[in-house]
Formats: sequence, C-alpha cells, structure tokens
Amino acid sequence: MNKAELFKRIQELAFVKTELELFLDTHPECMAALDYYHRIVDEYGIALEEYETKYGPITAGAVMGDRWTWVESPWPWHIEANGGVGGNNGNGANGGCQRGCNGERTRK
Amino acid sequence: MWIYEKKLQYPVKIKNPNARLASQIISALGGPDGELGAATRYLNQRYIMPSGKIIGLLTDIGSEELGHGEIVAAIIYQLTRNLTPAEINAGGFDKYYIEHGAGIYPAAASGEPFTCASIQSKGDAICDLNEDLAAEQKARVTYDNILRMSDDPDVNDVIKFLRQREIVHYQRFGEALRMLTD
Repeated sequence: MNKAELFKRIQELAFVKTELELFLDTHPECMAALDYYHRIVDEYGIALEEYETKYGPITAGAVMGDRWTWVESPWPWHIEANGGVGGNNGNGANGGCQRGCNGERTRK
Repeated sequence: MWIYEKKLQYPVKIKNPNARLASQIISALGGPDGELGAATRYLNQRYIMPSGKIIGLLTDIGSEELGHGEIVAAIIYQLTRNLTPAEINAGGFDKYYIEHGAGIYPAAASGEPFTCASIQSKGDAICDLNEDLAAEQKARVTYDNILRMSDDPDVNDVIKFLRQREIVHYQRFGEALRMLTD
C-alpha cells in the first residue's frame, strides 16, 4: 500500500470505528457489534502505526525522533492532504499549504 | 478532553473554486442548523442526561460534528482559493469577503454570525432529545438544499456523505429517546 492508499484505509477504518461507537452507545449489549468493534480497532491501530512510522504523525503523540514533524505535513483542509495536487494544478498558485498559509490568497 | 487527529473524516478535494457555492455552504458551518451549532448543542446537553448510554451518544455524536465542521470549513477553504475580485462580486461573495477575506467565519448564508440563539439546552432529557431529532432533520434539509443549488460533483460527493450522517444520527437519537419513553 502506498501513502495515499494507506491514508485512505485509515480514514475508512476510522469511519467504521466511529459508526460502531455510535451504534454501541445505544446497543451496548450487542456482542456481534462489540466483536466487530474490537477487530476494527485492532486493524486501525496497525494501519495507523504503519502510517505514522513511515510518513509522519496523525496525532501529535506519534512524533518520533529529534524533529517536531507535527507541523511539517499538509493540514487536513489542504488539497494535497486529500490526494490532490496543490499549487500548480491549474487552479492558481495558492492551493499549496506553504504559500496558502503565508497570507494573500486572492490574486488581482 | 479531546485529541486532534490530523485527517478529515471524509476527503475534500475540490478542483474548481466557486464563490457562489462558498457563500451558500458557509451556512452548513455557522448557520442555524450548521455543524458548529450541532456540536455545541450536543456537547452542552450531555451533562444532565440520566443514562450513561445517552451521555456517551451525545459525546460521540458531538465530537463527530466537530469533525464535520472541519469538513465544511475545508470545502469553503478550497472553494475560495485564488478568487479574483470579479469572481467574488459575480458570486455574491463580496459582503463576506469585505469582513473576512478568505478566512473561515462561522455564519449563515444570510450573513448572520453563528449564534446559540438557534440551539437549545433545556435541562430536560426528553425535551433535548426531541430537539436533537429535529436538528438532524433540519441539517439534512440544509444539505438537500445545497445539493439542489450545486452542480459540482467534487462538492456534492462530500455533501452527500454529511447528509447521510444526519440520517444515522437521527436513528441513534430516536433509539436514545425510546430508552427513556418505552
């Protein structure tokens, strides 16, 4: 799995986890849902650890080594964080996080 | 306590900026039935609930709504990149732009700033859960209205996801209400 595929996998597993949490809140006695939840949490943890080891933190606590990598990758609303191409993609120069965060987002 | 995860719950990847759509979709963040109101409503209603199950549900749905606010903000952020003054004027985004530029400001499509006047926390579990059921339907209708106004498939894909979540939350809130009334 490449970086984008692994990130998508994490989003999918996190979604299933959230959905099961809501279901279990009103069906705490449902053993089938609870078994499924445990399985998803395990898979989610494995995928998250693989991603954070290879590509950087999704939660700040996963920062490793001697650099504060938390602030290095694009933020979730940046198009590059969602599998898009930032900056020079035909939609102008400010799609990228670097330029986008530096101020002027409107061209004359 | 909350811990931030550096990812959206659902990806937002919008190719074409669109000032008009941004001026409409801002309501899904800061309007009377928007995500900020939803999160604020549920997370503040939790405290007096008589059951751990219902407190858990309000906590978990309220937290999810915070994430939905981030998704809507991401849509606005991407729709408003690189707009020209002419595009801002043509799209009716000019009034918002004068006050906020391309910053994210929670407001209704009408321009009214986010207000807690459109939510309630009544200190009564049955009352609050009925409000929550109505809130999910009102949010669902807002997304239906946005889908009628938008012909951008990149935007509509995300809006359809958010709309579907309102239906799931409505289902769960109905189960919570029946715990108290059956």
